[in-house]
Amino acid sequence: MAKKIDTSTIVIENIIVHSIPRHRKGDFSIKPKYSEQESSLPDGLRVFFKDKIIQSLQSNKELRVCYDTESVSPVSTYINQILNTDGAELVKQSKLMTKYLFEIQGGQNSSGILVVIFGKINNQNTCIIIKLEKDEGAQLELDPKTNSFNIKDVKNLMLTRRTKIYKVGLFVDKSVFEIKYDGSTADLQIDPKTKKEVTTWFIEKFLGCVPLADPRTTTKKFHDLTTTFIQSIEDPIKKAKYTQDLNSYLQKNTHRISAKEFADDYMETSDKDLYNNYLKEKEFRMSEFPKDNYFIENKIKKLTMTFDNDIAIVGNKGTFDQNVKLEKQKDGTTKAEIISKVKSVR
Amino acid sequence: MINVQKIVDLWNEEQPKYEELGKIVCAFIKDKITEYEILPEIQYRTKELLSIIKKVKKKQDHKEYSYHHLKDKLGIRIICSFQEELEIIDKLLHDFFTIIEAEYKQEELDFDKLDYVSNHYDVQINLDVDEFGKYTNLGALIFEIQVRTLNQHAWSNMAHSLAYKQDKDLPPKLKRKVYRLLSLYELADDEFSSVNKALKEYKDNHSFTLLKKLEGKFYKYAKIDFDREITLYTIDILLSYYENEDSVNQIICKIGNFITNNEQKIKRIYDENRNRFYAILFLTQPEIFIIWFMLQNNPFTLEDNWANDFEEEDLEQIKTLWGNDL
Repeated sequence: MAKKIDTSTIVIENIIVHSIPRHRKGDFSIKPKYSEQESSLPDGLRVFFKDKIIQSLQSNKELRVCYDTESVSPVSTYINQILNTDGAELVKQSKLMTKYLFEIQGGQNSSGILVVIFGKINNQNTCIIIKLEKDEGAQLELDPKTNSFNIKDVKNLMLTRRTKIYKVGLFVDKSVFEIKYDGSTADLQIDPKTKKEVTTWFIEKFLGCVPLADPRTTTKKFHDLTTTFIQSIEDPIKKAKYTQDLNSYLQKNTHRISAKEFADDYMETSDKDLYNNYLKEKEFRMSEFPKDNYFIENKIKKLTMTFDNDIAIVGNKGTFDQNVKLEKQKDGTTKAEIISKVKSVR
Repeated sequence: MINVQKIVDLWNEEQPKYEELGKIVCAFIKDKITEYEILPEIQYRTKELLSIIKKVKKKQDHKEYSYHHLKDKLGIRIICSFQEELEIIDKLLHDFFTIIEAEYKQEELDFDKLDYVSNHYDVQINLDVDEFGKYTNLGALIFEIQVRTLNQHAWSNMAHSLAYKQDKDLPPKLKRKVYRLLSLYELADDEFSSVNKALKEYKDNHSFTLLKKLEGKFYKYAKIDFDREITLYTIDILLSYYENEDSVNQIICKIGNFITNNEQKIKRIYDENRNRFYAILFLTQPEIFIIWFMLQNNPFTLEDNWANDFEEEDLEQIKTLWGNDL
């Protein structure tokens, strides 16, 4: 049976910071600034970084991932080296990670900081990677005496607006936890101009990971479980509303969706908790996943509402609520009103 | 004839050891006793030199008695709120100390004796107990532990101020006054106990029921006292987030198990954050257990309403402490 991975048990043991300057792809006249040794970490800062990691992995953006066997990224090898050597190779492997990140970044990427941590989670080894992007003006200076970056400067950068929201990946040895995934990531990067999510190159290109489950399967499971939950609601008007909402939500122009977002956007608070508990029981997570409607395309095209008297209304999902007015009657029945021209009768 | 100088020399040499022992034992009892879900007041004192000399001198008038016979050179006093806690503390003392002599004075008192007295134990630290193992230099020292209720403590202090001793031959009228007073203290202890028991079973006020369910657990992990007014106010608000009575009853029924099932996690959170309680005030109030319960079981009910009454940052902090399963 899979063992729990509880973020509250994270213990940061060693931490190292490297800096990646902005550069054009293939321009190797600029080089990353490497720490040659781990940074010292006072207790207050240890708590700060632990809190930041938990907050990211607690967010709706958290996603279970596996190493992609077809990925060219060597990062999984570096992570495993850190885990297998109980952190002894943290300096060496984190430098290799930084070098790889530098190589795959192009001119469109901001300069950044890579923080690599060796520690424990549930008393087992873990490797945590944090990538921060910073504005050009935000400087991080190597201490010539220690040949490492001062971790306090990283904290200050994280607290100022000159550093964009970070990305986090936490990895473990899955055989130790008897789980099917290698870690969890949270890519919190939002493009400030368009407010749309940009590619998850941090997860895919850099870390070389893919989501644990096929997005087509996850999306179908989300649709099916949510539909079953909605069907269990007694109030027919609410049932119809949530069914239409689910359809609209699945057809929204976004790449990632989540049960939490669906609940937050469409449900009443008391239903949200019932929905949450139902999904928990079914072991379906509330956090985001990449959407792929491939398996449910047909299901979300049409919506059929059947009444007790065997009369059914069939409509295109998404426009159903605009064309059918439902009204609850005192005797518990529902009145449906459609005002339109009759097109055909079959 | 007592050799005062010898006592002075001996005490000058031994007093620092007893002082150290007092600190160690006090800290130990304060830490351990919360595991029994109570939070009595614990004090210690080393005896004043003058008191030692006077006591030896006084005792020598009746029998052979020297400085070495004194067993209360260090005195630890444990004052609890309710008399049923005396038994809990008795168990703790037997579990972790070597009891040389235990006197349950109240039980031994004849019905017509005028006194209301505490339990006294002459003890040594038990070197087999992990926390005491390293103090071999203090292992032989005998000291006294007094355990009493608040009312016994009040009686004792008043009796001291009145210079009253139960064996004094008092005129009947005065004796009667003392009897009446004493009965008030004893009755008060009995009544406090029964009220406390009744309050624990009181079901009409949900917030109060929850407070009673949580306070012992809170002592166990936080090891400090809390502000009851804030707790009742906060619980009232949290419970108002629920739309029906069933959900509130569910919390009342399930909160105990929730805490037990998460015991290790709660203990770890408290141990890790004890030195920054000042920055996480919710951690210093028992309603934190209800918030964690809601985060686990009714997160939307909590999160949708929280900002109306509390700071969003506080909830963020509480969530971070609790973490999540990946």
